[in-house]
Amino acid sequence: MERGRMGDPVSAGSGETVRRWPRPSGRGRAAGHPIARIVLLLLALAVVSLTGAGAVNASMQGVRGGDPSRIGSDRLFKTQMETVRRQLSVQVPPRSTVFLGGSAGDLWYQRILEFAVMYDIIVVSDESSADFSLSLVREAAAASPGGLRLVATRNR
Amino acid sequence: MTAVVATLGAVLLVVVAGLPIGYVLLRDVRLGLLVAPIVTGLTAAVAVILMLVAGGSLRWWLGGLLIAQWAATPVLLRTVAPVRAPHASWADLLWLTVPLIPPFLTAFLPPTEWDAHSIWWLHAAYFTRGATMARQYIGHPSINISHPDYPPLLSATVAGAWSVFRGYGLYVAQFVSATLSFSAIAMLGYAVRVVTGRAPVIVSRLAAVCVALAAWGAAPFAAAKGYADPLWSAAFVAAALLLLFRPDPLRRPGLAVLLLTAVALTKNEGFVMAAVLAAIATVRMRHVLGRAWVVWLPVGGGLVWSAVARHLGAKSDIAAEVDFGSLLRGSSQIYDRLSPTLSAIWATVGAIVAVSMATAVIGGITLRRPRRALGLGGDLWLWSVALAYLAILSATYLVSTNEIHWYLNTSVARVTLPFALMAAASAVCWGVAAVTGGRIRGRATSAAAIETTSATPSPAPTSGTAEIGAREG
Repeated sequence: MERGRMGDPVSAGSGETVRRWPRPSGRGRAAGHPIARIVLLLLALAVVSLTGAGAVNASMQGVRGGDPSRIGSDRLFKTQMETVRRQLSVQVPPRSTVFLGGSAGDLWYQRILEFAVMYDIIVVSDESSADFSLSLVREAAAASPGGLRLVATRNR
Repeated sequence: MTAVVATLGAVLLVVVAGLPIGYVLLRDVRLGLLVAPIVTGLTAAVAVILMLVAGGSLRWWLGGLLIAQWAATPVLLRTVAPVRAPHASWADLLWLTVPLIPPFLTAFLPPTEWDAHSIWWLHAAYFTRGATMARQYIGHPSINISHPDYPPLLSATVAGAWSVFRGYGLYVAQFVSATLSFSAIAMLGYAVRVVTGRAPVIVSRLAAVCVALAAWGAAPFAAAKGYADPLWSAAFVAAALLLLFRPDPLRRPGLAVLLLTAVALTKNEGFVMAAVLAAIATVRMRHVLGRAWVVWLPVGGGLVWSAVARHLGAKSDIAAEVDFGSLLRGSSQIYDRLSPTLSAIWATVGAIVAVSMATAVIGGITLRRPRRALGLGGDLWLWSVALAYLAILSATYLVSTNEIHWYLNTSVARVTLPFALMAAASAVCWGVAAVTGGRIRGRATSAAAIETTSATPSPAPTSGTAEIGAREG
């Protein structure tokens, strides 16, 4: 069967006209201008080097144990989270409502929201309707791991 | 139970639980293991939806569904046509997994990422508590900041693990999330391996690795630390390659449909893009329209979740706060956000996309024929998906009421990941065409697969394949 362009009508031998895929080059001569192929390969390699940078970055972080600028703070934050979560579960009974003052900031508001769900506790935005008011206070790391303590004050 | 044992056990559970259906789908244990976490994730998502609708606990629903899957496997193995997926070898398994291990070492870092906690693991916590608590929290105003309308796949899988390994272990959550991402990224590599399968083996395997490693993109912290963006982005581009680059996308569509369903049930933009991809794939398969319905099943899954979440009172940050009328009226407040939005997207992925587009244009002019000889579908299909995503992503930033610079700074690195993956996939496929010049691996394979000249009416798969390929030219 003779070579043809993609989609060229060709005779199937039975008088009917059909469309066909281009014949592959097989193991023989490669198609395409050599310079165009080299340019394309270089461009593709440029894209791969750009998109692969994130994986290299992640690998280095993984091997080093984290982003050098964040290793200490991430570990401290993890410790603080575990401390606050444990203290919440110990101090506030399930099905209670709690209010967290604005001084704690978005970060701790959202973490306490998450931990509250884990222990059937509801966070409310109105302090007067809360069973407990929560606050976070700084404390020596020896007394409260991570140097942070959750204080729950019963309102009613 | 120590945290290490719980974490290892949870990862093992996520892999083993989905293995039977993974095996039925691909008919190879090695590939089945790779796709198994996605299967488990989908099963967990379905279990959460059933739990929210019918009540009960996630443990019982998920356990029941998994037992049913395992019990049905012998029947499925007998009734479903035993077509083994291509490129199932130990060497391919190693090529698809070993290069991913170093960047996944970040899973060992402390689980402290903001969105992982505030969105995905918070949802997992209320799913773990059972139907009553989950319904209460989804509609509770205090949870609105957590996007309770987001689809449940990632959170449901973490909740499934927490239901077995009690104590809400944060490393359990991080490793289960990373296992899902690993599976999706490995499947992205596999999709590249499939669509470039006619190239010499080493070229095809290198192409797969190059595209898979793009999944860390501008957000190297995301893949292994609890974010859903790499999960849905990798699964999405894998499905796009299988549907848009294969000459015969409806032959064995199971993997593409599975991945696209995972996309629709992982994130809201994934759901929208699943619909976009289904529409574009349908246009591509317009000559076999009667069989193209299968690519719309994932959209149906996303719609079901959307209806359930809305019924329970979940608020979407986009739908609840924005004024679409202002967008349509051309309000200056809305369009003032366009410039910073496009600038941020350009700064994050502009260079990658520009070089990839240049590759595609030059390739389209000079190497179209070798590309066709490799059986690769038209590149314009993939770029039309990217263009649609650019429109949807830009519109999302425009209509939101969040302060635009804060919004971009906290999200653009992650949400532009699909651009990086599509750009990488496009460029790498042109690179394969450039390296091979259209020379393929063995004549026997090529003659059967590429030469489709049936002159008489033939069964749908063959004729459909020939039509799609021929008319794309």
